[in-house]
Amino acid sequence: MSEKNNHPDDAWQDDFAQLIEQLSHPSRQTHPAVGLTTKELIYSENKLQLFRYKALDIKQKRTPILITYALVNRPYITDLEPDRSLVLRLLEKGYPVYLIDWGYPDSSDCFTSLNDYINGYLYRCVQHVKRDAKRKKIDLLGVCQGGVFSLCYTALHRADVRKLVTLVTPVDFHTKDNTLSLWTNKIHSTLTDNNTGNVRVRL
Amino acid sequence: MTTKNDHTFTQFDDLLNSTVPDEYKDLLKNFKKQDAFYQQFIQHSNEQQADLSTFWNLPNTLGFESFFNQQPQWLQSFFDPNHSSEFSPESLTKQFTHLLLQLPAQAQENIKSIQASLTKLSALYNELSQSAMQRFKVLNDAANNPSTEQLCAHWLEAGESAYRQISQTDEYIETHKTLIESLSALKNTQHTFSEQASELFGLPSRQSIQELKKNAHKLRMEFAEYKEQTDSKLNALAETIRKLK
Repeated sequence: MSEKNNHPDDAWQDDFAQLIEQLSHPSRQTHPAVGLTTKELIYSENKLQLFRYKALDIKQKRTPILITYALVNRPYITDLEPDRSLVLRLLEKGYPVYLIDWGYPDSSDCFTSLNDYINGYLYRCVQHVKRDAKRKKIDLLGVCQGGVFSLCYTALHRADVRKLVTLVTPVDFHTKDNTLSLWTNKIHSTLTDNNTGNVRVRL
Repeated sequence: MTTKNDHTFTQFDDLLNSTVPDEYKDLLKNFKKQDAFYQQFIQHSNEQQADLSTFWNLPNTLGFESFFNQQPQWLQSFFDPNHSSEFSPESLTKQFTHLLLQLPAQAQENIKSIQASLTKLSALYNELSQSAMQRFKVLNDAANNPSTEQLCAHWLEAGESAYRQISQTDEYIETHKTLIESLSALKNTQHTFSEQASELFGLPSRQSIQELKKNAHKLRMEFAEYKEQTDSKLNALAETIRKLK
């Protein structure tokens, strides 16, 4: 690109040109490297994996942070690349950081209930983190659906949680202008009672 | 479009025919689709055509599905869960008729209800398209000689605000509810039918397989719970021993 577009409406052209320029060079078509901050698997169960990130050589805070991501997204979003990594920023502040990767749910998960996720998987992860960090309480950082899980967990197991942080987490599902809520509240539960236990991908 | 970007568009066309990985190619094809849609929209808008409402035929335009494709994907998936029609010359109508003849009377009632809901939804979508077009005109009239980009932004704003309003009306919610419930009821009828057929031929039913899976899941969770309790006790013991030392 020789010069930048100054008109705000034309700004996208620079991004588009940059994308095409990148794609036009085979050497730049590599998959982006994500989630590269060094971590160690400390617990696994079924498809779930619990990781502990390697602490930086700085003074460490005592209470660990457990990041709980959503089931439907990939947790490496919290550690995209060194300049855009929530995990790395937390490590730089001296927090011991743990992360739950739920794996990819499949048809075998059709019987996995909210109780299993919150009082089962998440409970066991929290206990592992507590033992690993030798602390009685941890800080929970829930993102999106992971935030909903974290909220429920904190309400049910207050003794385990020192601080709760939620990011992009829906809390009240019954607001007046919530289209999804308006739609689903009116639908009879036959929607989910489809003999397989899973809500269909395509309704 | 400025001249300096001509090179970019030449590169873009070259890329579509190159050996660039499929995942990138799909992305580029999407750009191409969007481009075709907007080009057509801008042209119609600039020619000041009276009826632009087809450009807000939202079930077909959202996500930039081919805007002349009149067959909603979710309807396709219902009659064709394995997407075999993509490879079959048989039309949806033929599949529908075939299915209708095969299913018992109970299912035909469900199908009638689905058809009625679809007719209502179709009317609501027409209303939505008209409403979006009116909103677009208001936005355009308010802007003084809007740029191409503004036209596109107005298209989006008009469509979104019209959809937001209609999708929250009682009529839309009720129709949507009836449609989903009828689809579910029909699925369940199909399910009962296939279970009876399995039984007839001495095959394992889906129900029995589900039961097996359910018990396997229960066992897995109980084992994990037991392991956690053991780990916790071992950890407490180790701590006690450490203190005693």
